[in-house]
Amino acid sequence: MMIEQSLRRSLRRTEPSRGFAERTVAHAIAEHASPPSRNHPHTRLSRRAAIGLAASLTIVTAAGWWHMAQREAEAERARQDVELALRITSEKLLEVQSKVQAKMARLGDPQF
Amino acid sequence: MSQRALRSSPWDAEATLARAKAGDTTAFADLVREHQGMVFSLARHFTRHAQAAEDLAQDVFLELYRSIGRMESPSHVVFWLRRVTSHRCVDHARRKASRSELAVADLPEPSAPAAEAPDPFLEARVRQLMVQLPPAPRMILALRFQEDLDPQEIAEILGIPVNTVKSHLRRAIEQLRTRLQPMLERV
Repeated sequence: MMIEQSLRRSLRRTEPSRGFAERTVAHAIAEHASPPSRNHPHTRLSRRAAIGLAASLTIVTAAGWWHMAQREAEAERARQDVELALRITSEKLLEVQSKVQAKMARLGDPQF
Repeated sequence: MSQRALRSSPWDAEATLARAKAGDTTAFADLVREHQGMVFSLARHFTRHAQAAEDLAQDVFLELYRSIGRMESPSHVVFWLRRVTSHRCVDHARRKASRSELAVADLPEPSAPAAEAPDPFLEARVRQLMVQLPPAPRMILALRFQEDLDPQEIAEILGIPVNTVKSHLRRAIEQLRTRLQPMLERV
C-alpha cells in the first residue's frame, strides 16, 4: 500500500504554465483562419496523390479501351472467317448440286 | 488565482460543450481550462519534461478543437482527451526514445511542489523511476494513480485487454517497490 500511496502523491495533477488556455485557443483560431497553404506538406501530399490517382485512372481506362478494341477486332475477324467459310461451303454445295443434276440428266431421270 | 477561476461564466459542462460546438471560442477556452490539468499532468508524468508536456497538451487541445463537433457529451470529452493524450504520449516516447531524452529525464524536476509533499525526495524518485518504464506501463500507471481509473477504464482508453492492463500494473508496481524499498523503509 505504501508504494501506491507514494504513486498517488507523486502523480497528482499539476497545472501548465499561466496563459496556457489562451495560447492554445489563439493557436487554434490562427490554424482555423489560415487553411493549409499550397506548400503545406499535407497539400503537397494530396496533390501528388491526386496526380497519381489521375494517372492510374488514365492508364486503366486506356488499357480497358485497348482491350475492348482488341476484342472487337477479333470478333470482326471471326465473323469474316465464318462468312468466308459459309460462302465456300455454299459454292461447293452448288457445284455438287449442278454435277448431280448433270449426271441425273445423262441417266434419263424423268425428274430432270 | 487558479486558472479555472478565469472562466467566462459558472461552470456548466453541458452548456459549455454546446457553446464550444457552436463555435464559441470563449467556451472552448473554458473547456481547455477545465481539462488542462488532466491533459498536462498525464503528459508531464509521462515525459517528465514540462515544455514537452505543454507542447503535447497543446496538440491534444488543437485536435479537440478540430474534432469538437463529434463530441457527444462532457464525459465523452474527458474519455476522448484521456485517450488522445495517452496515444500521443506513447507515440512521442516511441519516436524520441533517444539517449539525450533519457538524460533530460534524469534531471530533477525544478518545479516539484516540495512544500506540499511529505517526502519530496521519495516523490521525485518515484517519478524518476516511472519515466524509465516502457511507454505502455508508464501510461497505465499515470492513468491509474493520477486519474484514479480502474483497469477496465484504462483498458477502454488504451484499447488493450483488461488482463494486459492488470499484468502491466502488477509488474510495474513490483518493479518500483523493489527499487524504492530502501527509501520506503525510511519513511
